[in-house]
Amino acid sequence: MQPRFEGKALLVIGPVLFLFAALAVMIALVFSQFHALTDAEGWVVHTVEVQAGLNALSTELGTAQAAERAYLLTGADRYKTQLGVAASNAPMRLNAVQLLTLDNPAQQERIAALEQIVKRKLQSLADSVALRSSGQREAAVAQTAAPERDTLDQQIDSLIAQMETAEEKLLLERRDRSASAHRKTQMLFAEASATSIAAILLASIMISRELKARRNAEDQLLRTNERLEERVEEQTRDFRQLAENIPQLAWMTHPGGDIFWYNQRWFDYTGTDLEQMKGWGWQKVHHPEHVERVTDRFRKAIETGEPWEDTFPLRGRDGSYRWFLSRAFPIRNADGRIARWFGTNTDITGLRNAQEALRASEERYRVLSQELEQRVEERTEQLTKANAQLTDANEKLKEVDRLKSEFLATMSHELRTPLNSIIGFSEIIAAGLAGPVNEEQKRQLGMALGSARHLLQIINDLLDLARIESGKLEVVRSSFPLREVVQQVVETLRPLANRKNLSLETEVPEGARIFTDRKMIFQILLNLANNGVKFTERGKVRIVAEITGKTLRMAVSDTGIGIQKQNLGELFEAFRQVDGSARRRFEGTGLGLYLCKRLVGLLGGEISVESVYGLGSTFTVTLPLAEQGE
Amino acid sequence: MSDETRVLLVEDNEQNAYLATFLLNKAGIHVTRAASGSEGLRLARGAQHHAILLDIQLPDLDGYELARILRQEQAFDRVALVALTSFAMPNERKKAFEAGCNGYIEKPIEALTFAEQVRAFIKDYEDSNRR
Repeated sequence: MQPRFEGKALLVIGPVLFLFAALAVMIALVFSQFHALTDAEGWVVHTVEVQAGLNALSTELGTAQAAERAYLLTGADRYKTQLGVAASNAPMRLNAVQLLTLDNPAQQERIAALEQIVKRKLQSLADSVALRSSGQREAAVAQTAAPERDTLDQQIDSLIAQMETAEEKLLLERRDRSASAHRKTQMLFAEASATSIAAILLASIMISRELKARRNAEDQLLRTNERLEERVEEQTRDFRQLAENIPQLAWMTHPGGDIFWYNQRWFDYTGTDLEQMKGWGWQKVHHPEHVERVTDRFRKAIETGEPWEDTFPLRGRDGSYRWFLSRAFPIRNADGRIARWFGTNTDITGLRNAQEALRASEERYRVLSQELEQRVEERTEQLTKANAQLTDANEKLKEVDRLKSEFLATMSHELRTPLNSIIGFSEIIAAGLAGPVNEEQKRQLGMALGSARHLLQIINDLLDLARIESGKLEVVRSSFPLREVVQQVVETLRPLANRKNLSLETEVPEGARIFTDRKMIFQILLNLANNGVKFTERGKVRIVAEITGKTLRMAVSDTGIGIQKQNLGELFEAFRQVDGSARRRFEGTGLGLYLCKRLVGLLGGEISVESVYGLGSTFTVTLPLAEQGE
Repeated sequence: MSDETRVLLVEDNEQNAYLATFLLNKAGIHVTRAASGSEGLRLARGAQHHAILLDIQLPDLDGYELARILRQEQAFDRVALVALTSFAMPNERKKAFEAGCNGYIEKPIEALTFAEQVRAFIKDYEDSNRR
């Protein structure tokens, strides 16, 4: 604000100074003109003085001549004295005029001439008086009539007239000059006045502007000041309001630590008033065990100017104590001196109680945790024991599993070995290799062979199932022609189909090779197609295979008895065969479809069935095909 | 050595041994029978055969062991070893080939084709050795 103000002042003062300078020049000019004017006036006076001097000279000369005549007539001495005075005055008058016209050589010459003539005139007068005094009256009168006297008078008059004319002429000239000087002075004066007025006007405008600006600035300053005061008041009000509304007790001290203000909360809590509490009165509500320490530490803070913090109990209006965390910090002036201290007391009783509770809880927890640890140890011991037992049990189970597998293998071998010879010899006899057999024998042998084969099938299914359940059946992939496997299935089933007058149809893409477990595919197809043949009395069994992208889809459909809707859901469960009558009519373990489902699952595929009861069934297997080498 | 095809059958079960012998003899194949692994080894070393048919589950040496021993002896380089398995243990086919067998017939045997299968294995093995 300061520098801008200075700049503005310079802006105002510059022109004003300039105007004053101009005014001074004007005044100087006017003054010089005035001087010229007085000079001119002086000259007028001078001319008048010269004329007056000349008049005086004429008068002196007239007086001298009159005194001579009077003396000549009367002979009275007083006329003689008069003449003497006039005769002595005349040169003085002339001398005065001479002094007045020293600057004028023409007038000086005339005065010199006049002096000679005046001297002669006065001599002539003196001569006639001298004659009269010596008694020669006649000669004296004659002297007055002498022509020389007239000549002298004429010469005197002429010279005086000349001088007066010259002076008048001079006066006229000087009057002209004086008038012009007058006019000039007037003009100058007018100009100077105008300029001065302009200057004064300008100056006053500028000054008034400047004054206005200063007034504005002052007003602004005043308003700012008012606003500041308002703000200070507001802030003080805010602060008080804040201090009244904070949840803490609050107070303020003088720099020396004497408290001069508390918020209402302090009074509400302690049940005291400012009169009791001001200064160091707060010690009255402190606990006797703490008050000494608190006072010491607060004094120390006041001395060092360091912020103060302490925790202590304060007595409430009901006489009970609550714990407070108390803090105070110095508030400093702009010059850094401490103006006051502001302090608060925060009720931390709840916090302390919570901390106490927490400590107690921690202690309980510690005890519990120890107990728990002990229990865990005990439990761990028990578990270790149990685990050892489990390991034992597991070992035993493994052993049992191994024994089971071994048992199965042995059983399988033991069951098959007799079947081998039963089937073998039955075939030999039936084929007539051991000699001729009659038709009835052949029929009965065929029945024995069928039963033996069925028994073998049951053994095989059980064995497969056991392997799958124990996870021992591994997928062995190889690349082979799809048609070959389908053909193998057809060949296997053809004797049975021929006996029942059923046709076996296939539809397999030419030359298609697949990379999967050949034996499983064979088993799946054989099972499905075998079922088809088994449950169909008229018509056909059809195997359709197709490859779409990386998916193999195989469908086996028949024109058999079909399956009722309510039985479709449990079809793929183990040991199921649809309805009691069917069980009697058709041989089978009920394991076939379950085995198929498990095998398809091992290959990552799905199996489904659609059937119309009385018209036939279609079993569909969908398998993802692996790339060879994968 | 005569033109007759000679086969050593190592089989502990009397009925099955009789069955196989009957079928092979019917096809004009001469059969020597051993009832145990050790007897099989002795008889194999004692005479020349075109093929040795090995039952797997035998009282002393099992079929795989016998095959391994025989394949280590140069004398049996040109003798076809055919395993007769009852499809009881997993990976039987694989085990049989690993032990040195070059043929594999699953029991129960097909009475009408058994002898043909044996002849086919002998011929295959001779062909593969000639190559």
